[in-house]
Amino acid sequence: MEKGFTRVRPLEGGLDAWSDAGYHLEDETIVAIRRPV
Amino acid sequence: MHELTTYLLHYGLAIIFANVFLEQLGAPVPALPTLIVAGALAQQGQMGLGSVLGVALLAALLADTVWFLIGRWQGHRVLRTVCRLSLSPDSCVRGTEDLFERAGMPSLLYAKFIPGYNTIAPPLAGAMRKTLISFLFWDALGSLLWLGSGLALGYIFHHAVNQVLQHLEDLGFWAGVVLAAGLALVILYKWWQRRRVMKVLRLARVSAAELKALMDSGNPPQIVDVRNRSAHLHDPRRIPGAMKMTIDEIDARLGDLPRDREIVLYCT
Repeated sequence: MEKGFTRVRPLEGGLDAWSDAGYHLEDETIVAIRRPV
Repeated sequence: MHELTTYLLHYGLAIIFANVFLEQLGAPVPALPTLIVAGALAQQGQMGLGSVLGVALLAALLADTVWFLIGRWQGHRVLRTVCRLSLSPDSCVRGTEDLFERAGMPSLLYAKFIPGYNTIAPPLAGAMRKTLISFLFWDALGSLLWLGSGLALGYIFHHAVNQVLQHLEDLGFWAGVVLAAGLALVILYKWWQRRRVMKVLRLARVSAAELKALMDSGNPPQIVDVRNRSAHLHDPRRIPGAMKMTIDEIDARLGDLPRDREIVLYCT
C-alpha cells in the first residue's frame, strides 16, 4: 500500500509500546442505543 | 535388543512426557520424532500405545493449561511476549487473533499442526475469556489428533524407524553428541536468521518515542489503528487521533488516507 503515499511505517511494539512509554491514550466512546419503553 | 532401545523403553514415558510438555511450553525441542519412535516401539509390542498416548496427552494438556491461565491473567499482553519468539511479532499477534476470531475454539482441533499457532492458541483462548471446560474439551481433541498422527506415523513406518535407531546404535556415545549438535545448530541458525530479519525490520519501523516527536512536530503523521474487533473490545483505548481501520478494510478505504502525510500503522 506504499504506492502513492509519502511513507508508511508500522509502530514498533504496537499499542503496548505506546502505553508502556507512558504516552496519552484516549478512550473510544461506546454508546448503547436502547429502544424507548 | 538394541542398547538405545532398552534405554528408550526404560525412560520412554518420562522422556515422552518431558518432550511434549517442554515443546508445548514453547521450547525448541520437537516432540514429533519422539512420538514416531514411540509409535514404532508400540507396533513391536515394546511399549503400550495407551500409556504413551495417556502420558503425552497429560503433558500437552498441562502445558496448554499453564498458557491458558497465563493468557487469562495477562490478557492480550501475553500474545506479544509469545510472539516475540516469532520473526514478526506484529503480524504474529494480528494473524493469530484473526485466525482465532474466524474459527473460534474449534481451531484448537488443528492448532497443533500450524507452527506458531500451536503455542499462541492456548493463551489466546485464555485472553478471550473462554471457559476452562470448553478449552480443555477442544484442546484434548486437538492434542489427541496431533499425538495420534505422530504415533501412527511410527506405527506404519516402524521398519524405517528401526533402521534409523540401528544407525544411532552403531554410533554409540556419538549418537547423543550428533543429536545434541544437530539441535544446537538448528537453534543457532534460527536465532541468527531472526536477528538478521529483526535488524532490517527495525529500520523500517517507527518507535513510540519517534512517533511522539512526529506528532508534536508541525507535520504529524496520520495514525491508523489496524487492530481487529476482539482486540478493540479487550482494550478500547487508542492513540490520540488514530483512525480505526482493520487490515481487511484498508484496500477499500485507501481514499480515506492522506497522501501528503506519513502514515503510521499500529496493532495490539
